[in-house]
Amino acid sequence: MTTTKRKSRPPLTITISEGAAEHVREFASKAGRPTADLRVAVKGGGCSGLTYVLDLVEGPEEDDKTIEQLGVKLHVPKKSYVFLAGTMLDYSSGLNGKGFVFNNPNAKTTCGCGTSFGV
Amino acid sequence: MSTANTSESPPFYVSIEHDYLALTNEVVLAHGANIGRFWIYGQDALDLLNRISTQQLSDLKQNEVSLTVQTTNKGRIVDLLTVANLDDRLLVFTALEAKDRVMDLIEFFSFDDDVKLEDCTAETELYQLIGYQAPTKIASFLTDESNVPDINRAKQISINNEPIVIVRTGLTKIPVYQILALNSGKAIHSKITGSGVPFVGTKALEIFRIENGVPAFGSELSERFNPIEAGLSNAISFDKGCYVGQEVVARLNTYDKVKRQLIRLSWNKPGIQKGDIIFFEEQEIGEVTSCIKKTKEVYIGLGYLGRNLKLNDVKIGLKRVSAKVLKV
Repeated sequence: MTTTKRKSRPPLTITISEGAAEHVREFASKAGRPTADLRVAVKGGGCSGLTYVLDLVEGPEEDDKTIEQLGVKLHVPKKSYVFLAGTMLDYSSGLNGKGFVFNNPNAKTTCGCGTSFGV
Repeated sequence: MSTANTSESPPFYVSIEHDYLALTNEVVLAHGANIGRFWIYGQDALDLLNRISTQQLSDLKQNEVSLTVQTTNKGRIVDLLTVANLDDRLLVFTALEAKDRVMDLIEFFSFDDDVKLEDCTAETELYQLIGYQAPTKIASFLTDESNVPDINRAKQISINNEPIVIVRTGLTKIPVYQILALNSGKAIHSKITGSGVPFVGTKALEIFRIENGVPAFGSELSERFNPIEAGLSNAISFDKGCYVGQEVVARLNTYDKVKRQLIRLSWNKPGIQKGDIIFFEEQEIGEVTSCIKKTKEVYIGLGYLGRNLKLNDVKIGLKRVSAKVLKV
């Protein structure tokens, strides 16, 4: 009998880049809510079917999954987590536009403007 | 999965011709057996439907009715929906066969939304009053003319304490009222059966649908087609912004990329079936999606044809039956 060693994969979570974390703190501070957390979610709509939602919040809602990274607490609703697992939240300040960028491995299609995705 | 409790209609009552004449000249009743219906409750109901279908629904006011197309993210048709805003909830009509898929997709796209869906097909009774005399006839049912809704409007009333919703849609020139009894429907049933208005069979209804170029789920409406080629531009807002499938629909419209158009057909020989190919000089140029025998020697149908083809005569099927092409 042969056994194959399965390559261990890192657990699917949501990560945040240093740049994105910095901008979350900056936005929270500008909004007068320096201790606010970030709620990351998905909602139906947009050309490809699902759009990302970012909100400053004071804490998790029932059934939210909480991830803390680089001093930022991310709260993710359970149903959204299924579509966001493995995502890296980044911040782009390039010539193509400023803003948060979702590098989502679950997104099989994205719309032209990049604000919605399909799975 | 629920089943409709509405009665199945026979192909005809007196005869197809008799049914058809009553339908097109007077007024008839039909069972809404092939129409699925469900409620959407919650503060976000209209906003969610607005995000996932083609029509501008976010400003649909109380008792207004609108057509909208639920599309896939590739801009293909899931089904044509009729949405009535009843203030505390939305009433949605869809094809019975499409209902479960439509509801599943709405559930799928609902995340943090305050939305609750409830299938009411089995618990309600649906009648359709159709014909030029329908406005007069319905006014006599309801005793008060102010209870009769205008085009694209809904009214909620009571008959003998039984709640009823009446919806008037504008898909055809001939007036059509959907009468939905929310409970047993006994009161409206006795009004209807006592009114002398005849019921119409499925054959005359199908002739009426095809003659009016109304696309049906499973024939002209499916994920093989987009809403523009199906002739549903009146159910699309081209400036509302994003909804599921919008990018594709907008591109088709803006760059004039629609390749097919819905057409009517008429021919004189039997043997043509749904799915038959339409030819012009031995070149495949389209397909038949619906067909029915209208009279002894007249057959009519709907089909899709290449959009820029301006043809009056085509051939259909293996036997190359000659057919006339008519606009929808």
